[in-house]
Amino acid sequence: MRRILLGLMGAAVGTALMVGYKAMGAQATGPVATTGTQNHAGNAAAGTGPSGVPGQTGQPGPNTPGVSAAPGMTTGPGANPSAHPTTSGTTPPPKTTTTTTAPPQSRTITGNAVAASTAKSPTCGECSGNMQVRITVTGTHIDSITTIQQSNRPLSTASTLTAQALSAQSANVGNISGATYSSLAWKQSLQSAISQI
Amino acid sequence: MARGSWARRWLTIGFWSGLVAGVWIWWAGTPQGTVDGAGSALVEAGRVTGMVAGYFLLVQILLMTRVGWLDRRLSANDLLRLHRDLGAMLTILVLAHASLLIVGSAKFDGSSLFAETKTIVTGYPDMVSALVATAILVGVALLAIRAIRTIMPYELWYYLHMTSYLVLLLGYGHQFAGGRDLRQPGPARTFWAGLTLFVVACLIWGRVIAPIRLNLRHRLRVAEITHEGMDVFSVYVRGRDLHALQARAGQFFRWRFLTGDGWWQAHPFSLSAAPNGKWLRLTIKAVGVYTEQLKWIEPGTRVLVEGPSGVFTADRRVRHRALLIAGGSGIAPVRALLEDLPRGTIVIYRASSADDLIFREELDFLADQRDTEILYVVGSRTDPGPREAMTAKGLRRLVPDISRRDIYLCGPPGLMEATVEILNRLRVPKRQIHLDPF
Repeated sequence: MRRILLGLMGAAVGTALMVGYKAMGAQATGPVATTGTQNHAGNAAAGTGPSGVPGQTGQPGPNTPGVSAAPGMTTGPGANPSAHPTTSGTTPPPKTTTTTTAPPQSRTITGNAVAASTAKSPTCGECSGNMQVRITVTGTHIDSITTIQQSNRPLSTASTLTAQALSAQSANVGNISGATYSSLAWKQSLQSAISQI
Repeated sequence: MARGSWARRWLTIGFWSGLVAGVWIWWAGTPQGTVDGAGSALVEAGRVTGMVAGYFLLVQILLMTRVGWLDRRLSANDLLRLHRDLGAMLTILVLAHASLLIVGSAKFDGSSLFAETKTIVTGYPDMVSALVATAILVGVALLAIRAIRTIMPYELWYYLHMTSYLVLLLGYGHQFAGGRDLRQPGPARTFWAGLTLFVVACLIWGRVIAPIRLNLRHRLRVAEITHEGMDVFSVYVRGRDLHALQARAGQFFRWRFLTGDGWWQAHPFSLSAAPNGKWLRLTIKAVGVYTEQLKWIEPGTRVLVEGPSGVFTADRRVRHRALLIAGGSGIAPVRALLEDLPRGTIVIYRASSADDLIFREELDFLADQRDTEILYVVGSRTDPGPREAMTAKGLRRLVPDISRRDIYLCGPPGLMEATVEILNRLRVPKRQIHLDPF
């Protein structure tokens, strides 16, 4: 009996301490898109995209330059699309392409900004801000997904969903526990982008 | 000599490393500064408790797999107590995990608890089965409370308790489909799946493959039943290759006698003589319906065993000399153990009447041969003789060097508790005390 109580108390104290430690350095609430998260999402996309369609990525996309000004964007400098390898358009086309048909061009499409708070519930206690994604597609294949706006929490939502959506090649992926509405908003934004393909 | 303490140390290290690794998965998956409100704090706490609960569930099942490497290193008593304590903690942690995540997510989403519960159960994969797993776990835990357990027939209770394996099966999916840190391929997911696989492999090995191999090899059959005393009888069991059976005196097997109406029950009985390569012997007191039936078992009846288990063995000794204390039918493993212990051993045999004493001739013969002193303490608890002998003072007078001996104690719970208390008062170090409760 004593051991049970001690164990439970230890678990409670340990959990509180660890969660408390993770709360140190937390930012004030507000629509924040951290650079770190977006870079992470970008890296994941860069890693996944090219391997899906070898020899077709890196093509200069005609739409690439014009889409950086999404309305209401609050992103930091790290999210600037020009820093992103798959959307930069600076890579020269591979010389070995000898196919008679022209390879499909890669395009960049920006999804709608969806407020996390209105994705499902009219009130959202702590979440605020929008979710918005930009995708790079070749034909109908999604090469990369960049989150250009992200609701204030939980910050790992976008990177987790990105990896899943890329492997599923659709917006039909599971929600993240503890981030139901942010997940829904992110998926709605992705869906709106996919529907423009 | 001190094999036991090393085994325990390694198992303890293993347990804590697994726990740290489980929590580390959460720690590494939670970037600094992402906890910034009551809602996210609750959700993160829910994730931590989820990882710890998931780990406890695996350990909990591992403890009961009866794999040899565990059963031969921890005593049945330790395993049982650990299982009980971990089970209680596990249940509370699972409930904490679920409620923290529901309350935390509800705070995020600004919805009511009821609506959030519905969202979580319907919106996430495998959450319905996780809910069922929680219900089973809580049910099993409630039934395990002593007051409730004792009013149920043992067999019913046992089979209800067995449903806890479903908890692993039903709770498995949601950890990987819904768990933030486990859903993506990576070291965390591999580790967690590997841990689960390891436990399941131990379960299959300990509960299915090892017993089948053992019984196919030795093919045990009842050879003879002998009368030992009032309501006490011994069953001699013979089989093939018994010299290869790696059992030691003081250990027990779970015996399943393949009779028409008793084949579905397996019961633990200690060996009452050291294994000699020719036969195994177990000694049973007819106290219930099942043991009463065993009395009339036919020679030639097939016997299935699981084991050997237990650490009530001579190689656990940390001192040179030993004192064996037996109460009632607790004499069975003590009688076997006596064969493995050196000269100068003392046996205290506690019985409520002279009629209850068994193995008298064998004990006296062994005592004669091995320079062992056997002290029979006979009488009811209130008689002056036993009352005086079973006190700190009395024991010290009977065995002056008691604190420098290993104590092997086997008997009914009352005697065990009282004696351990006396031993503590006599300052016998804990590692010198070896228990085998029944």
